[in-house]
Amino acid sequence: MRKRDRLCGWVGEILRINLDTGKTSIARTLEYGKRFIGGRGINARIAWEELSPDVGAFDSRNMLMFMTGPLTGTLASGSGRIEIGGIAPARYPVPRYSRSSIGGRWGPELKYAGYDGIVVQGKAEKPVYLWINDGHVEIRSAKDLWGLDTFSTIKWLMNEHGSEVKVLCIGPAGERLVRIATIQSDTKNAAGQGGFGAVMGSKNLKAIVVRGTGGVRIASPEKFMKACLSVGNEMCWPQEIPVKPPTGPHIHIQACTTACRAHCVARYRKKLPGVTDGALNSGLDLCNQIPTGTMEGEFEVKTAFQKYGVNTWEVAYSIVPWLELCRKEGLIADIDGVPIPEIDCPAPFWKPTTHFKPTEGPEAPPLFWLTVVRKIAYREGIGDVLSEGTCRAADELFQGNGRHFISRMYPGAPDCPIGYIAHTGGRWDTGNTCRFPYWLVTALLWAIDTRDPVSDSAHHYLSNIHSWPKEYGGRLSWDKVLAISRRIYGTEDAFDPNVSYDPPESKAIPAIWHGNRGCILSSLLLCDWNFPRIFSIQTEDGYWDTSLESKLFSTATGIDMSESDLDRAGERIFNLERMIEVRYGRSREDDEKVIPYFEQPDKDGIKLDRGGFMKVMDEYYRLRGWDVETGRPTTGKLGELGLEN
Amino acid sequence: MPSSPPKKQAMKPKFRITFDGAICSGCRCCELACSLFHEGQCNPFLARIHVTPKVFEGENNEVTFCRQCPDPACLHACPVEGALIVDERTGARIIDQSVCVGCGKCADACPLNTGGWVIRLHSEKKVYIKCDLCRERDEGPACVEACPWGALKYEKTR
Repeated sequence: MRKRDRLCGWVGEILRINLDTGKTSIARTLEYGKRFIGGRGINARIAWEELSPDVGAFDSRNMLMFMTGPLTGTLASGSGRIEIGGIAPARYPVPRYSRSSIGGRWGPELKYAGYDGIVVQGKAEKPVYLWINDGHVEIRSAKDLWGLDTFSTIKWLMNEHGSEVKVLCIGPAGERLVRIATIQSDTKNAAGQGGFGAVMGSKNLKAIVVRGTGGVRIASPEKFMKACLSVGNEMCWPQEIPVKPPTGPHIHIQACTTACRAHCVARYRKKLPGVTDGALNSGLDLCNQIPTGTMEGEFEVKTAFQKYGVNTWEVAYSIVPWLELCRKEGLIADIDGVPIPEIDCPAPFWKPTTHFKPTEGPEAPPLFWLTVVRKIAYREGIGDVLSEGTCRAADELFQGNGRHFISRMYPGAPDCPIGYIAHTGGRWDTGNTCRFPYWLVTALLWAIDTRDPVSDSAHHYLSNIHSWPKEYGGRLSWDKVLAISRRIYGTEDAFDPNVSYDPPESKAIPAIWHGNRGCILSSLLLCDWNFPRIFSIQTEDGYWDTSLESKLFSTATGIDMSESDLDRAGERIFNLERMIEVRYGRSREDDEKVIPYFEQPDKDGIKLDRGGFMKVMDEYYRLRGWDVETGRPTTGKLGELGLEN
Repeated sequence: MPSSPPKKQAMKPKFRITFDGAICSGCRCCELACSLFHEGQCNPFLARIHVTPKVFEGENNEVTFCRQCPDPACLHACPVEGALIVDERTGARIIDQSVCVGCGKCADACPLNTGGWVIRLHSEKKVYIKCDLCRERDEGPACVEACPWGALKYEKTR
């Protein structure tokens, strides 16, 4: 009997492929899985063991890791995701190890094909794609695919290998090593952060095509099913799934990942008349909005981002606002002849939906957006420089005269090696409201992370606290909210709107809790909107069950782990990622570089108080078991977590 | 070759599952709950229900499953006595895995089985599988319970 036949949760094997030699090998998932769970945890462990700090993003020694978790491909809500890890070309000023995540249907299919993950190293001589069919692995020529956009690539591969295959691929941007290139799946899923599409391109790897007919074994099917369905029909905010969901000729609710039962406000357009390639599901209506003035225009532009494989976020919330700021200073007026439309609100307070009014002719916002995204994807004209991302473009263009905007838009830039455009955190208000003092938690997470931390570590703090108290339009009294705060964090201060810098652990404790929990979610792997379940409309006291992740893990794998055991594993992963950073030279001094960004006034005019925040940081490092001076995990802490090596 | 058996009169189905494509989100919870209940694993390939997202067509998702036909072609086509039977309580047309010989005549006869997802061969057990309305499950069909948007419903037939 093969090992995978006995395992539950994980399927047992990680496929390793070296594109230099064309050779494949197998690693046992459980060599990593018990301590590092899956996804983000296993990727970090492999990076720690094998990716030395001198490896560059486009170096053939760079690894591209596609990792599922023990819950991927199961009924657990929002479990269809994978984590991608490797040296991220988008990190600025120097590419270093980071991560990105993607939903859709590819991750589950990989497990059904018998693999928990794929680690790609080396560089193929000519363009290739991987064809993985139930344990059979083939490296095939991609000469007919190179140059195609992602939709055409996927359709070509479905035609070749059958309509049930699932595809991860890059578009023209990834092929041209555009530093903000994405890896795409279906017509709506992208691993957007980090520029991993360019890493795929640098390896001459156009696509990974998977078909699997196996399954994910579950140790206690009945208990697992009960745990999965216990979330009922409650969405990820104080609302039940509506009896009649929004539908219409062009609007459709589509799960952005397999098994999602807590649909956020993701809505997809279908068959929109007058739109090129309009017969598609695309266009997430969440934070990710593009101000084109019309629904058709936005659809067209979003489809272009998906097809070319360019990071929408970086362009919509950084490159274009930056160009607009530069236009106002007279540094630039147009993109190779297409005028830059006027925005009435300065970055980083950029509210996309309200900005552009519908116009016709060459000033039409959709034309402008399409021009920008095409030029970036194909590196045409000024797009060649913009394709390096805003930070690097600001170094190159206008004799550096647009550089002073960068630190207003990128926490830590230009010195702290993050290089990710801001998300919610008090400065910015499209999808999420974010009030002081809650953004102190986000500021701490930004200070420590290698990327924008919101999409796996901060959503579950910010979104919850901004949507549940009655005062913010939710259902719960402050008494209930604070009681839940005490229950989860051991202190009411974590959710208290009136407690900020003092005592200093008030907002450091939730930053640690959600940092660790973020590691668990992206290792199991679950969607950070679905979990953790802190509040509920179904219970009297408003508390749900933050131990649900451990119940899902235990009943799926048959390995008993309590909530605190699992959080300890999250802490281990968090510390391991920190050690990877420390190995690059990251220190507290770097972490503090995010402070100037948060010293800008938020929507209510509140600025970060440097003195107070330094004390909060002291407390954060101390509670983490890290050295307060250097920000480095102490030997004692590493020993406690079993991370001596 | 056995001669074709006399045409059996099937009891009318008492319950059936219905589907509304306009509100199906394509999450595949139905497939996963189905295989989890019947097979103890999450495996869409062994599910008795199948979701086909129409991402490139921009149309509603297609979901294929047994409609418990009043005049079931599968049951008429089955050459083995007692292999394809009707459940007393639900009226579901069900395959008794201990009797089925895996000939596949039911799968060929089913008019909805063009994609092979309504009645299919169990790759390990070498018998055919199809929806049995989870007749042994107190809560009713697992797929219906798992469907977050209520696109699948369990209804009494009229």
